[in-house]
Amino acid sequence: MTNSNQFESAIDEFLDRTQAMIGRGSIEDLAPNAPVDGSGAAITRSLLRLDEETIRRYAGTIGDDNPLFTDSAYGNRSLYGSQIAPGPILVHARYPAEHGASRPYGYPLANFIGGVVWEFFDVIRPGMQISTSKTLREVLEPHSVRGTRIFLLACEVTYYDASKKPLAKAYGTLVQVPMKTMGTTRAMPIEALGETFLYDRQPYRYSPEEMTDIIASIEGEQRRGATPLYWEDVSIGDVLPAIHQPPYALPDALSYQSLHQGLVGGYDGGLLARSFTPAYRDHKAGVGYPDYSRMHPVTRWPYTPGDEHEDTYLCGYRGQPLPFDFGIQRGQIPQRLLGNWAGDHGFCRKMSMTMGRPLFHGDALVVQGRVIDKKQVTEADSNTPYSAVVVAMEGFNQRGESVSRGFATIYLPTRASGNPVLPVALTVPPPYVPYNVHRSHTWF
Amino acid sequence: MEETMTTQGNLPDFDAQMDDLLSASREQLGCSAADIARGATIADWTNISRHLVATGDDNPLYTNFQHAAESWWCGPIAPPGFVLSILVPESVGALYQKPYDAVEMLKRVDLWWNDHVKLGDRVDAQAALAAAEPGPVIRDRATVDLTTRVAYRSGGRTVATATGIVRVHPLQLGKELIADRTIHRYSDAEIAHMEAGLAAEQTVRGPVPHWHSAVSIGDQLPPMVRGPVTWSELLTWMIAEGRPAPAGNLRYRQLLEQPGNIRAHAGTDWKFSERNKAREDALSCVDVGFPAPSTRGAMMVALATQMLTRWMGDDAFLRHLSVSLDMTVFYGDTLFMGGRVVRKFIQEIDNKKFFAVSIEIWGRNQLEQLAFTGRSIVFLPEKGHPIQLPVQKDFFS
Repeated sequence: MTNSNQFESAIDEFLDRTQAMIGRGSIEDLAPNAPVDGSGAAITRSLLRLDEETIRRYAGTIGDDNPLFTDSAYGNRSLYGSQIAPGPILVHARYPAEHGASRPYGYPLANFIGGVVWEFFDVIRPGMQISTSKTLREVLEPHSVRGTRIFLLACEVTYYDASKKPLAKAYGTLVQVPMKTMGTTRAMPIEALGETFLYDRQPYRYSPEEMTDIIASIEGEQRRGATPLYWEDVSIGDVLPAIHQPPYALPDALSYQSLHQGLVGGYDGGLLARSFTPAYRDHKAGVGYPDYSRMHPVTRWPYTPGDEHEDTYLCGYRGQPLPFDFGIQRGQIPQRLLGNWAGDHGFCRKMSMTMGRPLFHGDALVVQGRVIDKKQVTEADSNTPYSAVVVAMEGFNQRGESVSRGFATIYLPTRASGNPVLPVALTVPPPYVPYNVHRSHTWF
Repeated sequence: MEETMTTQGNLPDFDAQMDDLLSASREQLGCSAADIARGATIADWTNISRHLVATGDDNPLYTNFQHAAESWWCGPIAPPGFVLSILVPESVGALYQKPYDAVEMLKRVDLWWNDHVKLGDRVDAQAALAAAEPGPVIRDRATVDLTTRVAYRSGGRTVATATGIVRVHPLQLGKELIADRTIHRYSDAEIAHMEAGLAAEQTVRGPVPHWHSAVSIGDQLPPMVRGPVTWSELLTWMIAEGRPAPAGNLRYRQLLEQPGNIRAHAGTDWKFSERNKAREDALSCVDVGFPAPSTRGAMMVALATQMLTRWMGDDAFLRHLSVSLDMTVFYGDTLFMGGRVVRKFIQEIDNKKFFAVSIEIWGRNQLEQLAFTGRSIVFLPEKGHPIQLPVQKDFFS
């Protein structure tokens, strides 16, 4: 039986070791066969193959069938001269969050993506070869609303093209919640399973009226497309047409992973073992964040991998009453809200989405947006003016609970000076934007 | 062997429904099997590795480029089962045109290989519905067998063909189950038995040639334990199949084109869920006739190819595999697989000699029930007779 001192000691050790990682190049989420002992290059190649089919499929995974992303002929006729990709596709080049220190069988913390903030400097095109760097920048311990400790791990990921020119950056925040029920390892003992849930939820049952409303919203979604939205025609207070997702279901859990699997190596640097004998060997050895082995509550197999997001039988191991979504996936969907409204000529310069609570299997999602600012901006080291609008966004589940919120900066065309000039001129290297800055609407 | 089934309440007119399905499917004979979502379009390392990860295949012929470069094949190749990542031969004919009280299950897959899929090849497949015939009467109900034929192309060459049979079983959705089962709960002794099997698994034969002359009828293939199946295995196989995975709003629009595949989700009542995916979801599988989340049949075929390639060594070539999927493999199930050599012979094709063995294979679950059985033909090297590919210059498709 783990006592309170052992638990607290494990948490303190995690904190100390994680703080010591600040400023060092991350070894998480590297491509297979990259060195995982920290001896690799600070900027490493991703296996993400940006061909037209992959871009088309990616757009599908976030519910965006904008022909700019799915139809190369349409893209060739567009102002970009080619099909382009939604910017957040870069999440598949490197996951924009850092889990912190690890050890065999892990630390007793439940991890959740807290939010991702994007900065884009150019559009993403087929044929681009992406390299990345990732660095843990901050470890914060805010007061939790539940009266327990929580830790925020803020990292910086930079995405480069083949000539090492930054295309985008992401500031990702990972929330680590100490869980006493886990004892001293990442996987709680089976006897503690179900003892404590972070939320009280049952699968939501939809009334015919609710379904009719959601379906009407999906079918009524409008896209501006090639008709420019001029900056001059936008006013503070303008409301963006909301986007809707039907209830999250198992195939949605496949969407994100359908592209991500294979792009990230295993904990020993080889292929990420997820199935059958190779996975069994890893689980038995106690390696693999956060896939440490756990006892399956039904089969009793002691080396069950940690599919806590999607598996009804295992989600309790993360303190959740139902399977739940990937926050990283939810954070990408609002780019459709922005793209539908701003049209092909708008350029998403910044976009953030902070996760308030999980979207459980069976939960629907609506994302709303409103213009909260309108301004002329000049990028650092550049005299090029951009005409920007700032949008505040918020996502709600079918219960009306806020599940995510964020902001975006969109550069729009003007009648006087035409389309936004791309790529955006940069200071080199673009500086890290601290957590307390990038989470504020004033930075956008 | 057929699974047992529970039944409740009055039955619909299954015979009329199956007659209707048969007639409607026959209108599609010879047509492209557009209902099968296409998988990988390129045999790049990411797609190949997804297949390897999904099947737990650590054979260095496929995972290690240097090892592959030193092999008789002179470079990286995909495992033979990779063709299932291009397309699974499982058209359901007209089943999705309107609602039927039925479930479809992949029943049989026959594969012939003529050459390897090589790393970096562009790959595609042409699939057509080849037959729609009455299946056997099972539990006093008529079934329908739908046959798909597929030709796989890699780097411009036809490298393999497949025939797949999907059997449509009449079933009262929401009231009946295809099997009286629950997720298996393992005893300590069973767990120890599985661990012993995993620990005893032999390493792959690798570069040491498995000479035809050194093989005897009756030789056993090293046993292979695969399981217990969890969501990791279900998911990684879905990924390995390489099909697009759009988000819910786009799936809703696609689903409107498949009225026979629409069913309300049992957990939420959301009325536009995919019936054919509900079987993988613990919250809705019972409603569509499956007592527990179920694996996709093609995964068993891929595991069977792995057992053969582990045994046969780098210099051999898997020519043919025919797998009969006798029992659904559910979440939590463990497969105990084995095989034995049943014949030795020599084939002469295009004036080349191929030293062949015929192998029986099988996979049993933890309840000793046969999950699949099959036969294969493996071309083994013989001294002075390395295998020359392609097998046939004009490979039929």
